[in-house]
Amino acid sequence: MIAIIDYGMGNLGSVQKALAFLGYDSEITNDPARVMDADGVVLPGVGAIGAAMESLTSKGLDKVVHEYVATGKPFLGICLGMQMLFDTSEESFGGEPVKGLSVLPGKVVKFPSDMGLKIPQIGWNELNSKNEILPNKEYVYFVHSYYCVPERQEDVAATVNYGIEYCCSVRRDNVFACQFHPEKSGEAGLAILNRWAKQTRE
Amino acid sequence: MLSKRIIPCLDVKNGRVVKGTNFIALRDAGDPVECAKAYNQAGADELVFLDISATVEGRGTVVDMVKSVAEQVFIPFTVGGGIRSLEDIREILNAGADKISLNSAAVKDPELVRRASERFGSQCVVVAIDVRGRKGGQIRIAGTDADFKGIDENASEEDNSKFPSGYEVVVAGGTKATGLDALEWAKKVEELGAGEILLTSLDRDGTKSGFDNVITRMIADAVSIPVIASGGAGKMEDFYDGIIDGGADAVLAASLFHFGEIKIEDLKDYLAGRGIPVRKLSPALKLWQSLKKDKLGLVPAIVVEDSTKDVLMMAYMDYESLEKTMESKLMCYHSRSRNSLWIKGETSGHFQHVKRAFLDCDRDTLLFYVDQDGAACHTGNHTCFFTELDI
Repeated sequence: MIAIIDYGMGNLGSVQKALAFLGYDSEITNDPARVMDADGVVLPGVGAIGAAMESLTSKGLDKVVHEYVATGKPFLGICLGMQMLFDTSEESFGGEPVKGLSVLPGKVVKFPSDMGLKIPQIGWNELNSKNEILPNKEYVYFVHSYYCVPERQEDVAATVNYGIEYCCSVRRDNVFACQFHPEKSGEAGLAILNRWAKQTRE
Repeated sequence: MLSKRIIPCLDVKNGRVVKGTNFIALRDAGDPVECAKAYNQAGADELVFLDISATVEGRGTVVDMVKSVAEQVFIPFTVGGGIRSLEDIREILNAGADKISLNSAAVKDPELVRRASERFGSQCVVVAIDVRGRKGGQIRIAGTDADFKGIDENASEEDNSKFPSGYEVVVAGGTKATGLDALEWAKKVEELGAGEILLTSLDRDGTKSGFDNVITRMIADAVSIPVIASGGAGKMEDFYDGIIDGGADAVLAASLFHFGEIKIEDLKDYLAGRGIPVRKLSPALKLWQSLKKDKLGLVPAIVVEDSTKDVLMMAYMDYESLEKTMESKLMCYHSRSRNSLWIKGETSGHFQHVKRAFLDCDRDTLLFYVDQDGAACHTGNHTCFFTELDI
């Protein structure tokens, strides 16, 4: 069973529907015991990182994420679920920069406003990847205004170009995360999700 | 680079697609799931469902439709038409839509845009803006004004001066003027938290004379959120112009796609040929998308030795193994026992070199002709079918 962490925000249904379509059982849950018990965990998310972190922490799920990652079982962060893995985000919440989960060292910053870029980036962009989970040169679907800057270059699994070339996926040990939405990236996305989910059966 | 999106729009009435998709033979052209699947396969980047049901019962069917589509189609889709409240929005998003679009409800109550974006995030709030040119603005296309009562042809210069962009926002299919300047309204909805603007020129809608690139450009330059151009596309060049002259981030059309007058794939080839970044599917992905998969999402592959025409084996493929087979020209399968990629011959040295491949008439089985190194069967037999039955 794959646990999709429910911290009361965002549309968690699409991830579950995509996993079901691929033949994987999943459960949307905020129960720490169910999360720890799972063969794989997805941390999804859309919206504001401040509110998401607050909601996650208030339910004690921040600790659960750390504990789960320490088990070595497959962990997948999607979109905001990737951004929350880092130390801090520029996205302010009540005037303060937001503190993340610090699962990975690095920060989250906003797309530059002086380059004439549409913000948020909405649409399909092409992956530059050398990672076996991610296909190179395949298009995947993005919706976001902030992006991750990992401290360690070796954590970067793929980059993408939106005026600037930035990191859109990270991989370190059992932690895999992507800024794009594999559950909304058509067959290319389903293949990525399937390749990740296969690990939960090993 | 971010690609420009091609978006087909489907009108839905009482949970059924009106006008269907005629570009491909579907068992049921009115089934939203079938239509969405067909468009996904055709390479659509996103879908818009516009509910035109006139009754409350009709509208009730939208939620079920959204659920069914979300279970089967994994590209983003927007649902618009008749959405009036936060509760309507919540229901449709929870059913699995990625975005909702607000049109007249936003004009009536602009704060709804703010509340929706605060509660659900800007990324799922599209504001649809329908516009018509005021006198002195964009030149009207003859023949489209017959039923239009909203804008006074004989309006004085003073009246028109209230619309600095030369365009007025209209609602109810263009039958009601709002008094709002199109450009001002676009800026306002961005400020309220809209994540995207779906801009439809009702002067151009149905005329096939091209998007109204004047107002599209004005709005695209004035806001930092993406603008989807709609209304008027008739030929491939119109889409190019909408993107280059209009500055649109995405282009939308309805019947042009439904009736197969323009195929999305051809349109993308055309745009790519003129230097516009579009999402193209790799050959492996394109083939995989078109196949019928079994319950486990796999497709059986029959393997025949090219020289002897002996049937060697049957195994299953998933997307990964098909992609790898096409790339390496060596047969790869999905091992159901190990649940992983199986490169035939990797441990035994008994590789299978692909010569030719065929597709079954039902698109649910693949046939490969190969040159076999050594034995095909793991028992050391030439073929896996070495046990003759007494029947």
